[in-house]
Amino acid sequence: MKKLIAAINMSLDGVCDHTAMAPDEEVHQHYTDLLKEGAAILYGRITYQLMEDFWPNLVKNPSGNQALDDFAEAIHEIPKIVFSHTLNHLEWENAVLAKKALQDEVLALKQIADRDFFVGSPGLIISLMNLNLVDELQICVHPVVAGSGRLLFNNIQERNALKLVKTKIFSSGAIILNYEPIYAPGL
Amino acid sequence: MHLSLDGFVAGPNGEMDWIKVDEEIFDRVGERISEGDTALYGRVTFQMMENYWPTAADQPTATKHDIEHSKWYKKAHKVVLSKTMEGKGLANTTILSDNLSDNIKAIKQQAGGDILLFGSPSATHSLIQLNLIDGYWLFVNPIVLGQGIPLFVDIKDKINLKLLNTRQFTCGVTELNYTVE
Repeated sequence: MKKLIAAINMSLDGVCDHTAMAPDEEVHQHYTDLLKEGAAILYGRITYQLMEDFWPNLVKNPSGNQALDDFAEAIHEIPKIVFSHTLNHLEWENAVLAKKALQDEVLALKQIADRDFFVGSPGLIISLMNLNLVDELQICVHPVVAGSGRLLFNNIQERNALKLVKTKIFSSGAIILNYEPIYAPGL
Repeated sequence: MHLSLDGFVAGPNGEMDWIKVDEEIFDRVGERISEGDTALYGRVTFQMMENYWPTAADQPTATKHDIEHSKWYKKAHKVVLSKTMEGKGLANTTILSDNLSDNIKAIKQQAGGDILLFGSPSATHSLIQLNLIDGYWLFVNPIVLGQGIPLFVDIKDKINLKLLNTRQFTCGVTELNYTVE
């Protein structure tokens, strides 16, 4: 069985809007390396559309910022599975619409994937946590209190106890906290 | 301050049963607080502290940590934010009922070492609003609570922070030390 890893940036006050923080080259490099190890990444419609509007252009017209261009290449290459009730066609190569419901798709992927896979949008991460399907959380906490914006953990239904696996500190002051959820009844 | 991964300092009804503290954490807290001599509390937290720490070392079951912290607590200059409390008869205690900004700036001038604000979510919220917090010393617990009393509320402007250091504890807590930029 392969693992489903939720990887996302947030501010110290839990805001996950991409405008709340500015990942630097070192953080982009980290995500580039991570994406290269994955079998696929799952997105909801909104995050997918944000990505589709930005990264494919950067692959065609590199920015000259090596870390950013490398990330663009990595996010372009990795297969993307998009969950949407409204989209029926995706422009981006390597992106497909999920055919099954979230839970069924993820359970199937855990069986057939040859490597671990990721979920990268806040709504899906929380839905999957509520379904007890996330095997690892990699939360990159940026050194900022955003004050307003979308809270990552807004719709968590019940307490989720976690096990801290490791941390990774970046020179910008961002820190990745790496956890495994403990899905035990009564916690 | 103890914090859940989703940014709460207590559950919706003030629950703190999820907070992990053990010898390793007590030792770290003891090490840091021994560098300073001033503690700041909101009224509710202060009353909890006052009921426990002055006599904690005298209990037959007192641990090493109880004895050390009790000694520190009795000696420390305790500053309490309260509009209703009277400070008469309380040793080493100053009550601040108004003019927080000026009063706290004055205490910052006098204090030996950092002034540590313990627990006290409401007091913390007031001080954040007044821009009086210079740093955050956080113990991030390995839990997502889903609901509760947040550390940060009604923040008007983005606060940029600088991460000074971190430590990973065996029990799964991560210490994060920030200063406000």
